[in-house]
Amino acid sequence: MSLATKQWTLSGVTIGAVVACALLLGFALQRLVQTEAELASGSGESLIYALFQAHDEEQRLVLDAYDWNGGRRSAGDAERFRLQMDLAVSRLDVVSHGTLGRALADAGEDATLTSAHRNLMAFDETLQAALAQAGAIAPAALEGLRADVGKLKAATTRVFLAERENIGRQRDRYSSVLWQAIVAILLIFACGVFIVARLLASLRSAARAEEALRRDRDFSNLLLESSGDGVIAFDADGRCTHWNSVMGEMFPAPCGSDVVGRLISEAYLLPRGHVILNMMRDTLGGQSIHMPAHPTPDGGRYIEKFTYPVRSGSAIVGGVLIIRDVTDAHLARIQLVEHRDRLETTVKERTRDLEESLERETRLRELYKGFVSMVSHQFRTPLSIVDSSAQRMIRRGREMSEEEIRERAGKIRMAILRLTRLVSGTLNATKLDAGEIDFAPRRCDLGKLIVEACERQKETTPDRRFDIELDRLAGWVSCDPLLIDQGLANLISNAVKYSSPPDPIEIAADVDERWIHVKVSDRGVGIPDGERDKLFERFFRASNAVGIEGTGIGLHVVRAIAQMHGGDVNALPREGGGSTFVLRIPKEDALAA
Amino acid sequence: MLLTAGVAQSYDFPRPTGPVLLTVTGMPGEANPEGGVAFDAAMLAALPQHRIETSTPWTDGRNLFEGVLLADVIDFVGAGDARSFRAVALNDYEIVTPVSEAIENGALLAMRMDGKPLTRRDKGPIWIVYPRDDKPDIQDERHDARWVWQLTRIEIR
Repeated sequence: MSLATKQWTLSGVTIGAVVACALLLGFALQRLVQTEAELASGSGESLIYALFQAHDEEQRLVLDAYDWNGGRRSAGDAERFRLQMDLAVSRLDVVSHGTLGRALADAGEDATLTSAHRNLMAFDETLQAALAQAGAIAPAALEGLRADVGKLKAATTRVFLAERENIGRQRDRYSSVLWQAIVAILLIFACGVFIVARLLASLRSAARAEEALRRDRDFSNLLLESSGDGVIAFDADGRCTHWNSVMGEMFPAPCGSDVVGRLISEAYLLPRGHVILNMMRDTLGGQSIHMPAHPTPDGGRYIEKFTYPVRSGSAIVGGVLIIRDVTDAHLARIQLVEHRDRLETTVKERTRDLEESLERETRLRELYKGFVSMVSHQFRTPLSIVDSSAQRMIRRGREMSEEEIRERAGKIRMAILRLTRLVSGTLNATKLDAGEIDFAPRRCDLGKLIVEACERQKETTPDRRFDIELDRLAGWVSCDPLLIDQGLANLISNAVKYSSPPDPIEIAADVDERWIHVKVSDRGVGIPDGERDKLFERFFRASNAVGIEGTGIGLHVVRAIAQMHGGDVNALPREGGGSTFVLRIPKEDALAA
Repeated sequence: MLLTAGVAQSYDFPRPTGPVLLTVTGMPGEANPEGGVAFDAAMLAALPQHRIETSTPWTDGRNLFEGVLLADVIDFVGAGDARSFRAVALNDYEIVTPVSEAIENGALLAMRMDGKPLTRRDKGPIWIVYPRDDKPDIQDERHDARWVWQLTRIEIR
């Protein structure tokens, strides 16, 4: 027999026991109620008592009649006799009416009563006459009464016997009913024991089932609680069915931890159209939703949201919403991106540094090449002059005239002077570049500096003419006069060197809001296009400067001096041929500011 | 009307002029306990008259009883504090009844049934009756024994 069949059989038997119990109880109750009703009806003793009274009063009446005939005929005796007569009549009246009368009629005794009543009434007439005349009562008139007394006694006996028989039968009936009830109660008891046993067994299995259920629930709760994610489950109405404390920590509900069993929208006071409610609606519509990492409204954390519908068969009965705190992972990712960006920046910076280094190296090499080229040309020429003069003096020896010696020595000195100039120019430039020249600005007269520089140049090249225009230059200028003098001298000697007479050198000063411009212009060889920027680099010499003495350092020094003053120098082509160099330094007030 | 309130004294009561139907004895503070208060028909008729319609185990059908309330008689003789009374019939039948129960159940000293005066030959002249049909509690053989007919004396206890 399978377990299910056994269960069904047991259930059937139990239901049968309950039904049997009810039926037996009904049966026992019905029998007892019926017996109770029979107990209530019964007038046996009353009847016997009433018959006895009737018999007794009639007998007393007979005795009173004998007393009367015996001579007791006072007024009191008459009154007592009359009373006894009334009593006798009333007692017969009692057994002739009501329930007693009907019971006696049922017992077939009504004939006795009728004749007794008739006889009593007949005696009453005799009595009234005797009382009125105070005369004796004929003995014959008493015969009927005496017979009735006997008949009433006999009737009483019959009623008593019938009643005893009746009571006996009733007792038998009661006994039978009681036994039926006892048997029924025993059966009910047996059924009751069976039902209670079944009940206890059911309770035990229910307790076991409940225990298993509780274990399952505890296990589910343990799973829920051990999850690091916030989990909330809801039914089709949006009512919370499960909830873990992680969710409570992430999103504390206004109502505390009492969320299970409440509508999520009410527990969290979510307004209509809230993103969570929309997700729940879509989930109940059958979608599984994943919302990628996003910041919480308070901005403190990053979370991911997942929802899954819960199905029972094909129907969707609810959903699960999982909220995962991905702040750490998200921050790590952001940090990673920042690292990468920083790394790229660093790489770019390094690359730029390297490129700059390379460029610097290249420039240095260019510089070196320029220096070597400059040395080979500019230093070799005076050295070869010195060498050739020395050889001639050795060859000629004493043959040389004093004048010729002086001429040769003069050439040698000129060459040495030129070499000295080259060396000191180179050294000055190196000092400038190394920052070993002190910059000491003070108030000085720029116009005077310009004029003096021109004067010095005129001593060397008296054949050149200078046009100086300094009208716009007014007041004092703040600058280092030694450095500015050097710079102006370089510009002016360049203009002389790269142009030829009779073109004049034009020098003009100009002032605007911030700057003082000093322009030195010539009508010389000009500057080839594309070399204007390199012109101020150390040792650079323009391609059209070949054959002209120079170290390539002069303009570099001018720019360094201008920059020390916060200004600059630029080369511009001049309309009509030649070039213009503009030295620019800040005005005194601009410098002060 | 001869109803008096307050303390009743035997010498205050009128003397019966007709045949005495009922004697009430045993009132508290009574000078002559043996004498009591005797009622004739006129004295009883002077008390408020009441009626009960009920069936009884000793008569056929429903009957209309008229008479005075036991409560009024007890008040009349000033025995309102009495606990019980003994009712004695002409044939010396007697039974003790608690006064409170009898009054509560509306005991009536009936002198007329169905418009006819009760006589000694049919449970008269006075029959203690109760509204049996209206009160299932008193439809019981033990209570039926309190329906004293041919009442002649009430002993207050």
